[in-house]
Parts: sequence; structure tokens; C-alpha cells
Amino acid sequence: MKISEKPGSVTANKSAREFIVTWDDGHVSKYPFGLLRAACPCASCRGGHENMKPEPDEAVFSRQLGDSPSTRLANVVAVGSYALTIVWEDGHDYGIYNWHYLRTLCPCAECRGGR
Amino acid sequence: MDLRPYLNRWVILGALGIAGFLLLVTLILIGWTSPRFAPDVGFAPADLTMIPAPTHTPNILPTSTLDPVSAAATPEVDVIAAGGYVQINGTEGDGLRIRSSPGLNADTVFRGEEAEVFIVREGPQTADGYAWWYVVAPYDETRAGWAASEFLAVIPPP
Repeated sequence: MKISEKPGSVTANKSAREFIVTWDDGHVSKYPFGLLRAACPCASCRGGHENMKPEPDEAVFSRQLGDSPSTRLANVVAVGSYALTIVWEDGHDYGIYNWHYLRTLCPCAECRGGR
Repeated sequence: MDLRPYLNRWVILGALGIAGFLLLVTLILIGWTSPRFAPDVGFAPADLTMIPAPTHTPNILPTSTLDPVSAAATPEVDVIAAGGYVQINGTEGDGLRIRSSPGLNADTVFRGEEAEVFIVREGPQTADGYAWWYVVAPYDETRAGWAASEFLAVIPPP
């Protein structure tokens, strides 16, 4: 089955510190807030524009970020129909997570096993 | 050429009628060919659900009489110790230099991110006015080195 990069619904569960995207193909991606922050795609977090890529670095999957204002989600804002911006409690909001980036960031065993 | 015989009332009304008809046809064509305001957004803000974190209700504990024996036996939970977990804290987003050996002149192995979690392996060693701990990332043994305790906060094991 073709992998969908179109979301059906998005849930930011601050209580469970988990960001959940249900894709149109039925797949459910659950992102811990720490992973989302570690994978922030903005130029500042990636270490310069030259390091910005359409897919996340493999290193972000081995990085564990704990609870702090930088990993507490404050708000989610839709960017057109192609992406989301996540606003963190430390004020950081530069990262634009497009659907392709989020789909390839899915940390589930099925998605990670295919890499 | 004398056009006056043609400029009568019927000619002028006819010309105005034709002009009005052409204007009407033009407006209809513009209306048909312009994009409709019904975009296929794929995702709308209505599809986004925010589940808030539970609000914290302060739990006022009853005061107790201090038992010096049991108080002495209570482990200190906020103290860094080998085997415990810490996270980088207080760098205001800059991250923390993790060094190859204790001391400010040691090489930086990598820069740990604010809030990044580590397991403490050994220490402390004192150098340049800081206590240094050897820390290792839980999922990446290559991400290891010495960190100044000033920017480490003790956290419970995940």
C-alpha cells in the first residue's frame, strides 16, 4: 500500500506528552514531544541552512530529551495545508514540520524497520 | 463623410444595448473561469485536537515530627550519582559542551541539547571550579563525555 503523506487528524496530548498523527492510509504515528523537539527542522536547530534536509537526521532517533520548557508543547499552528508549526514553551517556534517530514519522522518499529 | 443621418435615437440605443450585452457576457465568463474558494486543504485547523495537561493542585502535606534516625536514612533525590539519570538544564537553549576530559580546556566531543537526557557513569571530578560527571546518552553510547554539574538536573529514571 502506498504510504500517505496526508494527515486525517492531529492530536497534541500534553498530558501524555505525545503528538499523534493519523494518516489517510490508516497509519498512526505517535511522536514523543522530546523527539519532535530534537528533530526541529529549523535552520537554527539543524546547525545552518546547509544542514536542512527534507527528511530528519538519523541521530534524532537516538537522542532522548526529557521534560523541560523546551520540550513542552504550547501550541500547534497550521501552515497552509502542507505543514505545522509547533510552538514550544521556551518560545521556540521556527520549525515548520511539513507532512513529508513528519511521516518520515514516525518512530514506530514498522517505519523505523524500513530504513 | 457625413455621419449625422446615422446618429439617431435607435442607433444610439442599439449600440448601448450591444455594449451592455458584451459586458454581461464578459462578467459571466470571468465568473466561470476564476478559481472557486473551496480549496482542497487536506488538513484544516478543525482536524487538530489539543489535549491539555492536567492542572496541578497543590497537595498540602501535614507537618510531621522529624525523626532524626529515619531522616538520616532518607536518600537525597536531587544529588547526581553514578547510575542515575540527568538532563541538561539551564543553558537557555544553547546546549552544553560535553568534553573529552574534566576541565574547561578539554576538547568538546559534542554539544548536548537543552533537556537531553544522559545516564551518569562516573564522577565527580573537580576541575576549573566545576564538578564534572561522565555521562552517556541512553540510546547512543558514542554520545558520551564529561559534563559540568552546574548544567545538569537530576531526573527520575524514565
